[in-house]
Amino acid sequence: MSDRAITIERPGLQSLVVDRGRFGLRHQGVGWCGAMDLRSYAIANELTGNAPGAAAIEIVLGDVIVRFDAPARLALAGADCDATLDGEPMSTWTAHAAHAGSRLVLHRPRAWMRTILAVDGGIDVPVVLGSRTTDLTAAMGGCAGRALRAGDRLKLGPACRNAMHASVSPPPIDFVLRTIAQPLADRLWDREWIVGHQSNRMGYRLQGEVTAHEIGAMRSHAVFPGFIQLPPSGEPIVLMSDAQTTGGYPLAGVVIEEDLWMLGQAPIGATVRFVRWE
Amino acid sequence: MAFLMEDFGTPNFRRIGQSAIMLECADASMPQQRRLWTLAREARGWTHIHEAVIGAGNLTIVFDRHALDVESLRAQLETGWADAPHERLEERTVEIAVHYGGNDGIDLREVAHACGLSEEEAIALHAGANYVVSFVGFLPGFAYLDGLDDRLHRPRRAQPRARVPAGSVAIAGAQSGVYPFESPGGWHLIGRTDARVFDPSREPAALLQPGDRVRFVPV
Repeated sequence: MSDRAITIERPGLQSLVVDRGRFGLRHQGVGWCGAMDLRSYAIANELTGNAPGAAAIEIVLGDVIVRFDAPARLALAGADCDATLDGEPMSTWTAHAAHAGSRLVLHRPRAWMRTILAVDGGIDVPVVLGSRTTDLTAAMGGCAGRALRAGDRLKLGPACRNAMHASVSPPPIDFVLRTIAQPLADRLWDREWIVGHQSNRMGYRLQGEVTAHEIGAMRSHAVFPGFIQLPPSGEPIVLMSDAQTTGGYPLAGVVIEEDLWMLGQAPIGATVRFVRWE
Repeated sequence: MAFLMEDFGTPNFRRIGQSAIMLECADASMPQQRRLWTLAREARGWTHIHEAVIGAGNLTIVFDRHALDVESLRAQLETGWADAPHERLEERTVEIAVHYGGNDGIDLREVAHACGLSEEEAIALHAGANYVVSFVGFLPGFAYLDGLDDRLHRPRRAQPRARVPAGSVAIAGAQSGVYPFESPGGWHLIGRTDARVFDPSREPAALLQPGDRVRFVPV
């Protein structure tokens, strides 16, 4: 039973072992690096009966093949990639059973950006500084600190059999981000923002109607996922899971924790809005 | 403890987001920074505190908002600030061997020229100074070092580089630092070290900690 594992046959654009994040070390410069869509991550774990912090795989824009080397309960949450399990359609947001030798195939999603694959027992990579999540900057955690490659074999934790639900409805997504105002918040409201090309796990650069501004000598201060920075160009940067720990740009707002997952699902070119949240 | 309040001023508090509060000092001077080091260390031991991150003259606390009321945390920080012990952190001196200039420090020539110095003079000024770690941030293990000779003060590069090599020894403004990993960066690269400034298997993982004294040794 100790040899439960899955093998990555096709890794897709960027597949990472993730969990909720690596906490308590930002004063050492270490980022959280948790799942970009923590909501889908939590749902996928719940469907498989995993503990809330179990490691899962975050897949960007599908195009992934995974082989199961042992029987397992699995679930997909997030972007719907028209998945099949052994050739049979496999619905997202629902738990399924794989047997030894099963193949899971994900295609390109038509909407959303990221899919979480959770497997019961969790992905059993070594814990580094308190977490299994991948930190690409420091090349630590996850699978050797890097994105998954074809041929990677990932061990699973002990099987668990305590799933509460077999299926859930997908959470509604409208890309309207409730935001706590900071001094420059007036530049955020009442306009549409387009997710720019230079958007990644560190931050989302937004394009729209902006005004350049002078920023004086700012003192560096702590920054966190969800912070909206305004660099001199005036184009907001929303900091995401892999954000640096300190920064010097002025703040326009903070996206509330309950809504940040939506940005993790916003593809490049998507339109997002900010609304004031008290 | 009123005399301490006079000495160090009353910090400002700013609520940022749902679960964070920032304490801002009147300035980012070394005595204020020292006080932040001890306060941050203390705060990490309080219950329901997730992060205590120091910046330049500020300290941000991330707390469990379901378990802790922000007003009581603020009061705790005010008391902690006023009572923060005068005792200094254990002072270590860390020496970092640096290959200066050439391919290891591609901006050295330009920096020296802009400062009206020869490359040798620039190296002597950088390696001759005593640095203190003000805070750690940006990247895992990246230490912001105060103490750069003012003849070497240069604004950041107008265009940040997309890729700065790991181990790069760099300067910007009044500070110096060492890039632990390859990353984007806007500082001037004057040398390179083989020292492992961040190692997750070490405790603590970051080589340089707030309050550490640092010297650069040309090799």
